[in-house]
Amino acid sequence: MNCLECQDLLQRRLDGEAVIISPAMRQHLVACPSCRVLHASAQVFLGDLRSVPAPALAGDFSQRMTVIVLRDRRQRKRLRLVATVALAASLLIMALAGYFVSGPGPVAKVNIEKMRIDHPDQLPHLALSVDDTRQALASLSERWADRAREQAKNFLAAAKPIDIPGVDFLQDMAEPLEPAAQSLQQAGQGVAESLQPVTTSAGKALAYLLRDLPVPVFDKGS
Amino acid sequence: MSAEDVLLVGCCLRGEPGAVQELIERFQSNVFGLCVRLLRHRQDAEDVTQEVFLRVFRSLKRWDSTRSLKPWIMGITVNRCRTWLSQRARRPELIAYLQDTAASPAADGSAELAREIQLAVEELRLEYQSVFVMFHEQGQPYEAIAEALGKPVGTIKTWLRRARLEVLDRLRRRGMISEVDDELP
Repeated sequence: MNCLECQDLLQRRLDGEAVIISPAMRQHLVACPSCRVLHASAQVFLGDLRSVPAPALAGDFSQRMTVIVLRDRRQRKRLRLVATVALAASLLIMALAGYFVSGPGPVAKVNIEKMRIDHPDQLPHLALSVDDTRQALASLSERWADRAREQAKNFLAAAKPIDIPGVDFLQDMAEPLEPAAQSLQQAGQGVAESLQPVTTSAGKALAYLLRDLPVPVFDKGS
Repeated sequence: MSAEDVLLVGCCLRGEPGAVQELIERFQSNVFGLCVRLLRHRQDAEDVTQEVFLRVFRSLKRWDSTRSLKPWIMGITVNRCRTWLSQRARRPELIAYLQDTAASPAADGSAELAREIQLAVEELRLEYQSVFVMFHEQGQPYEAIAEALGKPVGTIKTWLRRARLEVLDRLRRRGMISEVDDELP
């Protein structure tokens, strides 16, 4: 038996197992003073240590502790109740605040009416507003018309053989086309012919719109 | 798990004072004993014991009834002691009375040796101390200690073996072991 085996037996003995000292172990203990001292001291752990009285609390500790625990339980219950009520109240306040702050529609209308009666000069002039609207509409229409014109020019460039009066510069492109280009050209012609009534109608509609817009009357004094 | 534990906890959860007191009385000596050993100060140990029981009752709803009650409470005790020690380490003014340990046994030979062992145990690291006190002083089995500390049984055995060897080594260095016996066991 060696020291490692001997220490293992010692640990088992300290774990509470009934270890029988074999002749081999006895022989090792005789030969090894270190292991002999360890085994002798094991009695300290097994006997003397448990004989030491455990530190004791005051006699009325459990009663005092019971009072503290029950009081703590009541306080926590009360705290939970208060927290729940506070949460509900804060939610209610937030809901009411949201309703009164973010819903002022009728109040604003009344204010505008009142302002119109009390301070008519401070209101924006209707003619100016109409003029601004007309200009914005005209510029928007003009932009769309320019875009349509550009696209029509592109189609017309592709549809070269069409004889369009007043567009003489296209006549110069007289070189022969390949079959694929010819079919593209024919397609372009078709699109141009179908677009022509549309562009005409759009032009007329724009003219009518511009003609029918009211002429703004500017207030000289304002 | 024991049916008695489940019944007792049920009564405690209903707020019955008798059940609360019974639970405290059942575990107070183990809790306080471990606190005294780990904290080495009686007043601190009393405070922590009180704190442990407050926490036990506050979290009693979360106790897993498929497990034993004692390891669960001892686990809370070790955790509270660890927290208390870390807080105390940040308060240097308290170091002065650290050696005010509660139990002062009589001055005969065996008691003196036991006292030396306690001093040697106090020098161990916290995990070794917990394991040593729970096993050798409170007689708890390996499984209960493993459950309390949240470690495998093998780890607890290893810690306990190392703790014993360290204690024996310190006793030997202090000249206490040679006084015991040189005869074969």
